[in-house]
Amino acid sequence: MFRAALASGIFLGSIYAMVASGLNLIFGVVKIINFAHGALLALGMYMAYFLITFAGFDPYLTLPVVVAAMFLVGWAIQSGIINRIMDSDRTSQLLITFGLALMVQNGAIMLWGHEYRSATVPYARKVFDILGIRFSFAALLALTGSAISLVLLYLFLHRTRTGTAIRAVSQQPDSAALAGINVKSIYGIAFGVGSAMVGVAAVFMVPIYFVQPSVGDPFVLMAFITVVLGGLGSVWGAAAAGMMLGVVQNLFATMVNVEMAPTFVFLVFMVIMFFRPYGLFGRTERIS
Amino acid sequence: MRATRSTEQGESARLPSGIGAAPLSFRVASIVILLGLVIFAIPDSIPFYYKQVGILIFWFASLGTAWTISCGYGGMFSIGNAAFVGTGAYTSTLLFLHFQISPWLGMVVGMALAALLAAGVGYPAFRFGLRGDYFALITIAFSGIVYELVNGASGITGGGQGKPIRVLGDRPWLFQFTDRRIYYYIAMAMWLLTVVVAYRIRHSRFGYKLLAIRDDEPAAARAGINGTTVKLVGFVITAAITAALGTFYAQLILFIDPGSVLALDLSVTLILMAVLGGMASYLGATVGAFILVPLSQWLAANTAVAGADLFANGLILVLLMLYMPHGILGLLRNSPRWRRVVGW
Amino acid sequence: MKHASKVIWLLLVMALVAAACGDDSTTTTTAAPITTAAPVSSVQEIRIGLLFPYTGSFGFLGTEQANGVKLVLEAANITGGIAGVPIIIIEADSQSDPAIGATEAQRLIDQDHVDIIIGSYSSGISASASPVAERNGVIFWEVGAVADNLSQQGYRYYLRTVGNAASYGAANLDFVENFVAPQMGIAPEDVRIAIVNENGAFGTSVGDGIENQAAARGYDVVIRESYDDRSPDMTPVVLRVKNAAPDVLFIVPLPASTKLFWEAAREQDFNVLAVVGSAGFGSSSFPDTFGAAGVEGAMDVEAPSIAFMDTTGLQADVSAVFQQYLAQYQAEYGRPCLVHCGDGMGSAYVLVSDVLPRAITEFDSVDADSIRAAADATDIPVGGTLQGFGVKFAAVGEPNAGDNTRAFSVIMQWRDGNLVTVWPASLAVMEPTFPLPPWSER
Repeated sequence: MFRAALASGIFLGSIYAMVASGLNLIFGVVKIINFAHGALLALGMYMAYFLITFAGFDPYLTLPVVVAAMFLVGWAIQSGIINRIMDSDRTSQLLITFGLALMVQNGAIMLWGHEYRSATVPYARKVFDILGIRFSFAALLALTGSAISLVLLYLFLHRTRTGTAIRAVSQQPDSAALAGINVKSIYGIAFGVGSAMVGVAAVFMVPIYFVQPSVGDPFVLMAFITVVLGGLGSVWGAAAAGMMLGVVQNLFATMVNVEMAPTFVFLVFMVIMFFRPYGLFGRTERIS
Repeated sequence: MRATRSTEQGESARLPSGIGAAPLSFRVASIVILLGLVIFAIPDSIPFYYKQVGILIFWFASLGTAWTISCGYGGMFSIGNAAFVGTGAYTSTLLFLHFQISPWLGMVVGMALAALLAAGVGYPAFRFGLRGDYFALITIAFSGIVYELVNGASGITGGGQGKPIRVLGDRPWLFQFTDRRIYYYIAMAMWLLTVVVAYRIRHSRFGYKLLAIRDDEPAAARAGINGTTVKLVGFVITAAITAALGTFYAQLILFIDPGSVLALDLSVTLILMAVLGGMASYLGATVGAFILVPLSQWLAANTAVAGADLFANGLILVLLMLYMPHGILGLLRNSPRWRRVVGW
Repeated sequence: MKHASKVIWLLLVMALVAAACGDDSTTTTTAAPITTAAPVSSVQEIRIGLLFPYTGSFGFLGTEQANGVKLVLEAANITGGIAGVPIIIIEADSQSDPAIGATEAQRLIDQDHVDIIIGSYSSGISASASPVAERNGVIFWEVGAVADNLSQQGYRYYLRTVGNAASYGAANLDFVENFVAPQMGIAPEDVRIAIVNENGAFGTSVGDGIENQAAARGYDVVIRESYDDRSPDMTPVVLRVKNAAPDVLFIVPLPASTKLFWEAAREQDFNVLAVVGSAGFGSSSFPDTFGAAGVEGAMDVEAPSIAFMDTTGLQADVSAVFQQYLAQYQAEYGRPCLVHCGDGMGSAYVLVSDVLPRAITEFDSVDADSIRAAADATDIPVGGTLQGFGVKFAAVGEPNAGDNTRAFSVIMQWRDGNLVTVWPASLAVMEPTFPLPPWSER
């Protein structure tokens, strides 16, 4: 049972890592807590769902479409809305993403109702049994997709001009501006890429979870915790923290008590925050 | 809120602050409105449903004002105040159901417990300098923990099933009244009390210390203000008031469950009240509640489309932050006199 | 600035006016004068509020229940109403939220002046809305929520027709004793029982009911697990239960976790000889998601799925309307009337064919006390309702006042995509298949 719990924790953790990496980027660059992240996850899942159901796409082939669309959505949110309050105080910025979250999530309810929809494909449901550990093909694909997208994200941030510009803005926005980087445009791109990462997660999640408006809620809270634990500015930090959280949560749930698992995770989070506020792997200062 | 300093230093030294600074017409109007609120509940011809809306207005106004003490004054952005509401509600209810202790006393115990919790979370947070977003996340996690603990310990708290309180009829000592109008007056009294507390804090040395910390904590520290202690006191006061309101809710509805008193939605809604009205003012949450509560009730009752009311909440929040981030009362902030009246 | 002070005035006054005026009611008919016991006056209309979760996470099944109720009420109106008195129907959406349920109940009472509130599908919503009705002296007619504590409040005006959580436990354990154990060739005490439930009002009360009754009978509960219905991953629950190696699983999920559980059970190759579920397991969305083959053999314990139950035991007059209602429901909604539709229909039928007529003809009133008195006299034998059980309401003062002491739950099974009643034999249309084949063979 232990090995099975560990495995299921790794699969869950890979999803947390994907969702968290997008949040990490936004948090680290644009410096706001994106409360709308969970709603964006749901939005991405609805996009994939409709493509599958009405356009006959294979679930995994929706990836390019959803990623591109989510990038545009994120970019639009940043450039159209959040940009205007970049100079306001933090509370306004926090609350605006809250408001956006409410709008996106309830907009989904208004348009598509609360029904639980599912869209999967037979080959994704195929179950593998390796060394007594059982998992579905969809879970394996999610793990692989997570790993690949994280690597791509890393490469993007460290090997491309835009990526380097993003890192510059996240570390020293003023100097970056002086160096001729269009900071506002970078914010837009960062938000876009962060949303695109959520889109990746959404595509891999559709064959596994129900598509419904509040599907993002449990994930977004864990994503925040992941980001904070992993430390800002570190893709590997967020990934490692996501894995850790998934494993801890499922191990605790399976070996100890199912109901108390989220509580345990929250407790761990709070304790770590008090003693290592930089997160486990981060180098950036606490934001005040 | 970067408070712009008044250039009329001399004038502000001479004019009275607070309500005294307001024109006579405003003060008269306030009294008329208060009288109107009192009289509103009396006639039986007004159905109780409307008085219940009034109770909810007072309740949310109080919750928002309590939150303002921490965040509006002290900059402690807590998105977890529902934890304190639930603490108050469950403490008084469980003490009553198991030990027959009057909910009035239970309210006091709940307030004390909430104060302890606030200190328990606040002390490490403030001591280690967790601020802004990080503090907000901690409060969310903390609120989540309380929710899950209450939900999970179903043997004690009834868990997801909630805890009903038996309808006992008219038992004033046990905080139950058959004449439902009394709840209206209790809610109104709690609201007035909370507003007065916020007002007094605003005009006290303690309040100035809070504001100083909100605006520039390092500078305040250099001026000799102990950030940790001041913030802790503010947070504890907020928690205690919020818990008392939780007890009131339990006695009003006579049924509590985690979803109604501990959910994140509640934390966000009460913040919305304060932000809509203007979170730097002791009157902010009141203004916000008077507008938003009837609006929400109306939307929930009249729209056939689910989710429309919360969508509207979100839309209001976004528009507010874009165009009116200081809330409605923030519109007054260019007038030194009105700033003094609303305690900006 | 005078301008700003005027703005504040205006806003405050507007808000007050808004609070004072509120919204308009959904019907424009004025309330009928609620009659007292004055002998000469007679009832002009019966105002019934339907308080169901039409939207929200319970929306699908809540709407099914409400539609069942509405069908019967409207059918009564077509035949002239109750003793000539028309029924006015007012619908309110509790949005799957207990707090909204409570305020909507208050609104139905204050603005729409309803005589009866029919609801609520969910135990949580019933718990928060029924005190409102009780305080205001309005009958709360429960058709679907099953938590035991709902009828243990000492309320006068709470009446429930459907079998409560304890009846689920009774049905489950009788099934173990009289079917599973003999089939396995062992004593009932040796059957390994697992109980898994969502940790809300519904799941906990049914789970407790099963566990307590099993303990009373000396049966072997090898594991009892509660979980949060919102959790995105049911694998830990499945792993824990699988580890306990039960023979029979009783699971009490809400619709959301039904799919995740079933999928996780398949992935982890969790096999038992019988799975008996509730709620989501009795919904047509279950075979819709997994296909008829995917759910074949799974069982559900609840009030009977009336489209697939043996109707030979029904009284003649009941039988006649039974077929008519079923056909009407199928025609209008394109689906057979299963469990939740059956709850709504069956319960409304008791109201319009027995309780309300008696209230009008004997008490000449539809106020709460008259309806309660009429309900006290209700004495319907088994076979006298659409759902097959009888009706006798526990009197005020008894521990579960208002509950239907003759209600029972039955076990149903998915066969070829239909939810058919398989146990007890008196209502069964088919023999149950046992055991459930392991996943590898499905």
